[in-house]
Amino acid sequence: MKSIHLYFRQSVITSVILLSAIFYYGCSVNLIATYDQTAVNDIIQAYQLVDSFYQKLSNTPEDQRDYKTFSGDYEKIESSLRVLVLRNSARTLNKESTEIAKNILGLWQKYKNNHKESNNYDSDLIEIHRNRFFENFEAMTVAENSKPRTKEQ
Amino acid sequence: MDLNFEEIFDGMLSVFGNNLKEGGEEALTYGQKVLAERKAGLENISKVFAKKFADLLKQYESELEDEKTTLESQLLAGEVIVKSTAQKAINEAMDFLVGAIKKLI
Repeated sequence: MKSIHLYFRQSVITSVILLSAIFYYGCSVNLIATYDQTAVNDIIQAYQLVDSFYQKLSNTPEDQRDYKTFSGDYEKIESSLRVLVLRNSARTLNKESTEIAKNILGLWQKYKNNHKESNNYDSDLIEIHRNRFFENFEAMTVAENSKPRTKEQ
Repeated sequence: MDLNFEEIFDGMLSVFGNNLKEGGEEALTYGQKVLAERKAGLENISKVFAKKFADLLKQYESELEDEKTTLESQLLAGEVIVKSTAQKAINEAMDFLVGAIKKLI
């Protein structure tokens, strides 16, 4: 009788451990993508392109800021931003970073079209837009840096 | 922005005339003549600035819209912080549970 009781107790303990292990390893909670250093590098690289563009625009006299002079830069940077959106959307549990990347791309396209329509870029707006891009890229970096370093974290 | 200057100018004439009535017929006639001479200049200035104000307002609203987008990006980053913290808390609690069960062996 005693051995049956002992056997039962051991079985219960073994089952609890197995269930816990299965539950833990099979169903560990993952709410967000893990940190990716490559993603951080992509963000910094894209930001460098955008910021250099605004530096160039700012250094150009207002009467020489016609759209045609900058159209090549616009296309090149837009392509980089599209890649940034795609790379982020390819990662699972990465909805927030993808949305921020889409916001950046949307702002870029909007300012490009405004420049194309007016064929000029107001000096005050250059500073406002440059700072706005910094804030959006910063938000993207904060998001990436806040992600767990491993899946289990 | 559509600016009906004729209507506005008629209103101006009426206000102007009402105030000049006290000065007699001569003052009223002279005042209306002076204002009529200024009509073209006033119309030109009003139309130019009405257009500038409308464009400026449109630009201002557009910039505010972009500020909203930026705020949205910052709140999305905040969501990542919250999710990451919650994930860490849950998984560490699970670690504690598994550790406690292992001690029972």
